[in-house]
Amino acid sequence: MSEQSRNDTTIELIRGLREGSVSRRDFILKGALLGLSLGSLGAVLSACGSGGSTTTTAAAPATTAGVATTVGAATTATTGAASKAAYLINMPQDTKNEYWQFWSRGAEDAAKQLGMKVDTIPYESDPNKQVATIEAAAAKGANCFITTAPSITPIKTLAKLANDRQMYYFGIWDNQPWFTVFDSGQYYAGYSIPDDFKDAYLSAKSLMDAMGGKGTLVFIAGWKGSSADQMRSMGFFAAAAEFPDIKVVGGDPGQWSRGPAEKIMRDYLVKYPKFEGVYNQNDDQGIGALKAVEESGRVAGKDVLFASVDGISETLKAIAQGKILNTVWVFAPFQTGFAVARLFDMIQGVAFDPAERFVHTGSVFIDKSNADKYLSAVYDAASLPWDFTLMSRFLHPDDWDYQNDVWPINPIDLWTKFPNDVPKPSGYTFPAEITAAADSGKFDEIAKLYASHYKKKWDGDYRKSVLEMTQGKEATPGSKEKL
Amino acid sequence: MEDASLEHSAKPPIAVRRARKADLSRRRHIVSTVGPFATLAFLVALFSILNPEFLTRGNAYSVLRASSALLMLSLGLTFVIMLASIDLSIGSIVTLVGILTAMLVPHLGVWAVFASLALGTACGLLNGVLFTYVRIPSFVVTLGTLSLFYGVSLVIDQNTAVAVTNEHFIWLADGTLLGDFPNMVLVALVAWGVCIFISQRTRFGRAVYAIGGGERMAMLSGLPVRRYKIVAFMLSGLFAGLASALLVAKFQGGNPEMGQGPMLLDAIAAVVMGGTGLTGGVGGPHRTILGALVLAVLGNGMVMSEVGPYEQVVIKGLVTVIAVSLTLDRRQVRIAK
Repeated sequence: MSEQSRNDTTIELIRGLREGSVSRRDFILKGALLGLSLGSLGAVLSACGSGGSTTTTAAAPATTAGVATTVGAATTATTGAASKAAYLINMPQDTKNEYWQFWSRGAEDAAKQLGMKVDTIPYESDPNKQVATIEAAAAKGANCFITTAPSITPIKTLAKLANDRQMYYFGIWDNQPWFTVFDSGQYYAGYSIPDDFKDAYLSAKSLMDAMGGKGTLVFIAGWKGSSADQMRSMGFFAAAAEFPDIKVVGGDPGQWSRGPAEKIMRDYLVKYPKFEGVYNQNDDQGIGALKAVEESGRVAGKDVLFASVDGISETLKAIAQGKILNTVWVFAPFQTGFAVARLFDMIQGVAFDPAERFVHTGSVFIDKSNADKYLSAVYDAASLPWDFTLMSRFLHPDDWDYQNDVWPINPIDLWTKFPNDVPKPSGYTFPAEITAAADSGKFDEIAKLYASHYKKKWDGDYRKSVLEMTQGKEATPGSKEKL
Repeated sequence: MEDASLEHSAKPPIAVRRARKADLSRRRHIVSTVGPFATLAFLVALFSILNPEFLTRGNAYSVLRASSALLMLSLGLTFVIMLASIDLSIGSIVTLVGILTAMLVPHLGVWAVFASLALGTACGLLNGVLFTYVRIPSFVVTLGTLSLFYGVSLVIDQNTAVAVTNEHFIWLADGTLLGDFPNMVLVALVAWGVCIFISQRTRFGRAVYAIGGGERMAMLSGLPVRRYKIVAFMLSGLFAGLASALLVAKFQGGNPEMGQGPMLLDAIAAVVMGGTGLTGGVGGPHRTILGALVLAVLGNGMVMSEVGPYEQVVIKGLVTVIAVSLTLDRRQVRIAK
């Protein structure tokens, strides 16, 4: 189509919209096919005053260009609303390891696809810097942020800050027990975490199976005090309980990093002269421990088997080489991309059920059979395999698709079934929204809804879903043990 | 021979040389006094030009909130640095006191803040005694207690976070006593005033300048140097305890990492940027607030100006070097290594 012809068609479309002969749905659909940006379409819709959408108060910024033209133009039209400007602050803990680099890549790619402005500012494990940065960004006009927390304690402060500054906040990894979005305010948009129990359980169980169900297994904990470490420990010990002939030793914290883990492993090499397996709470630690063991002259993958959780590229490569047995990939870019899409939707006014404010994001089991495939699909690929616009229920009200397993967390189960270090505050009762959702079976309903929308299976032929592989395995209360 | 005599005759008379030296000294004094103000004013002006939102009441509160914990921590440290000593353990004192405070809040409620002060002071006392009576250099003593206090906090809480839900305690940092002025900032300003009083109006304060300026002379003058050194470390611990209590209230709990990270280096930078030389005897807590504000304004302004995360680290380093070069009295730096 020539430029002149496209201009003429565009003018006709706008005229039709003004005169009522073209519906808003058709306007957006045809406009998108003509290559017009969502922002410009929204601006025209607003200018024409064609119908009152509750979510339309402002045209999207020019940066939204290309959203509607790339995917899902037809379904975008069903909302018929222009998007509100969204300015995201992406706050990873740091930028020093690959997990955080891919965290930011997911957040930035999703923001770009959704037409959001984004600033990435690591908080360097300093909650003071985290709060100060959010306050400065709020003054600058940012209206949402994603972050994790150095421990569970700053969560309430972050949620309060979000509500005070009217910035939507989506938390990943850490949340404080006995604190839901309904105990805070509407701007605490939600929270996601992989199912650490199942991830760790599966990775550890596979390792123990490979050890033949006997021998000595070195366990290196993560960053004690974090929710992830607590849940992964529970998963690990739940697996260990199924193998009574395996002796578990160690337990010192590797602090999520290869340096401390390598040092601990060197000490263990002296303390425990004979062992057949090493389990680390995350991959970065696993790489450190692997180095120490290899330098001791033992052959990784033969004399000593390794397993961990997270899915960094080094581990995937080591799995492909046969040095590490398996890991579970929590898909860092998916975690953040999903969170950004959720924030985008909330800013646009999409209402989410109380049962879907806390969610688990799915992980995949990685072993020698699929490590190479995931490496080329994500780490070595020019672009991430997820279409983040398709995760938006504003842009895709009917055919939204998270492109991964996602299922809701019932906070009542989470904090009453699982032991945690935070006792229930006296007089605390779960918010009515949560109890009503639980009573009406809403959590199961949402899980089924999400599963039914999961259609774009980009890794379908080599995917080993942890959710499917651990079907029926529930977290065991009291399985958290101390060495 | 001729050249040498010419050179000799070209040398200005001693009176002129003295006058020049005095003039240079005055200029240096002016630069080192004005330096921190100039740095702060420059940053405020720069960020105001770059961002119209920078000079707003809300953002000013953000900057003050961001600087308040750092200010409290730096105030106590200032006394130690004025003695030409160092306290590297303040971050770990924050961690240890924070964990203990969070554990005590359910029992003591808001009064747990006094336990924080006592615990911080006790940590400082230990540092001071080891430094003065065991005669270990402060750098080595506090490097050791940095690890000791952190380790004890891990042993106590098994490296887990301790949440605080007492609303009265949280109000200490989060509430507002005067209009919408944040309590945490108010406490920091009161602490600042107390420290100025101590340094300017008490015998101890004046002695700190004297000891930092020349310990041997101070000793020969009959000052109880050892006692004052211990008090300085106790003050460092006390204010670290205060900062810790306020951080526990702000973040509604204590955790093993709350005093780690950049806190220690930022506190030292704030003291030095304010004009208190590591060589001792100059500066004081009245100037430390400038260093804390420079760091807070810089952090806030860079975020508002959308400076990239890596560039922020570079700029922070450059500003620190420039600010210190403006405030440092080089006459005090006898040996530059």
